Amino acid sequence: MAQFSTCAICGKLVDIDQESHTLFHCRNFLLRSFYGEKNEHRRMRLQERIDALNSRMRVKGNNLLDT
Amino acid sequence: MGMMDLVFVATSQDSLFLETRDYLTRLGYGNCARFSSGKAAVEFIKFNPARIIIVDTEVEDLSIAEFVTALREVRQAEYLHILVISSERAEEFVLGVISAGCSGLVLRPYTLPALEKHMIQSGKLEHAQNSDRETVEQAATLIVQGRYEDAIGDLTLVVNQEDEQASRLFFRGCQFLVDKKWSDAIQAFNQSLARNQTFIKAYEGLAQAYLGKNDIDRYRYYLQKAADEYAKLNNFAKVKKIFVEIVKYDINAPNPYNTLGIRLRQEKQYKQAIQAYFQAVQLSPKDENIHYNMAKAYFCDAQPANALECIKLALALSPGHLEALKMYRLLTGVSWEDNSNAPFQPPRGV
Repeated sequence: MAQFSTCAICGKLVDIDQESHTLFHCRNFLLRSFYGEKNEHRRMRLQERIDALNSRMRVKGNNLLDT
Repeated sequence: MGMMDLVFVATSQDSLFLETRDYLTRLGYGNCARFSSGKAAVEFIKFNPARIIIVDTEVEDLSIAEFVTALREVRQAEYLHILVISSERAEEFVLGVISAGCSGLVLRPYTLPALEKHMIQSGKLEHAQNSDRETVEQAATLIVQGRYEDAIGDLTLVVNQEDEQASRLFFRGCQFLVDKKWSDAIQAFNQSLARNQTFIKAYEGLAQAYLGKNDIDRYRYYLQKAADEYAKLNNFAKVKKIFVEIVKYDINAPNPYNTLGIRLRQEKQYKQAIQAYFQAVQLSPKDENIHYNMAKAYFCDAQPANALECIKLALALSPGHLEALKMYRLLTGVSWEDNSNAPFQPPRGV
């Protein structure tokens, strides 16, 4: 039976045995949520989380990385 | 009066057909035929030449986007003008019919001059690049007459032109979609399609001419070139569909071409992915992630030297980029810190 766990950084539900999940995956997950978010307040919150992750990973911008 | 003079109107509503037919008669298109069933219309168009088909609001058994897609599929290499008339104005619908391949869109309520403009445009579309198309048509006559050398000379002139034009026009269409300039997008896609179609006909003509000369090698070569053009046409259709999805749902994406590149790379369409990244880089030249993504697409497409160039650009912008550092080591066998200008080194044992 698959073992799922919620990522503490991005909140994605990850299949621990099957799925690789690095900070780049977290960043992509947040960016995808950001891209489709219509609510301005939620979008701002997501942007803050993306900025924090970008700074931790020493990357910039809001473009996805092909992981 | 031939079949090519007929204007086909596909609609399941009697009143709409009567209205459209009346307008068309006033514009001088006196010869109309009607379909209520989309599937029947597709089946008919598959076996009979047609120049203009107007799709008015709805057909019986297909959505408008499905109908337009089906028409394009059965008449891939033909200059068929598909004009959609609709009262639906939602962005999702408009993007759907553009993605399907309509060559004109009129929104209800519309006026006679609006329809006239689109009918004139269909004529312009047909005569676009008319010198090339005339050449291709004349060459077909030369082939029938057995004048193969003359045909080859003329057709070679057509195919020797720059063949990236279709791609450039296609991406111009994509940019118009991003800018929500629907009419301009349709026009650019029409031009791109027409360019592909001209090349297909020219290559097919060359194949026929070489067959006439019993040069089987060149016959096969040009048949393959025609097949490649068909593949390009299909690829453009696929890429457009993916891009429209991105424009529709990723409303806050800063660079939709980057997202497109990733989708195409994941679907193993590496060359198309690279083309998408070229567009992405133009929009965001200083984004290390896009350079990294482009490197990955080049690497998957077995172009490691180009991949290395891109990864160097990514690392020059962001020397701490972990994924880029890994790929640099993979491509050169050394670390970026040790030598930031190392040449490509094939992995040992390859």
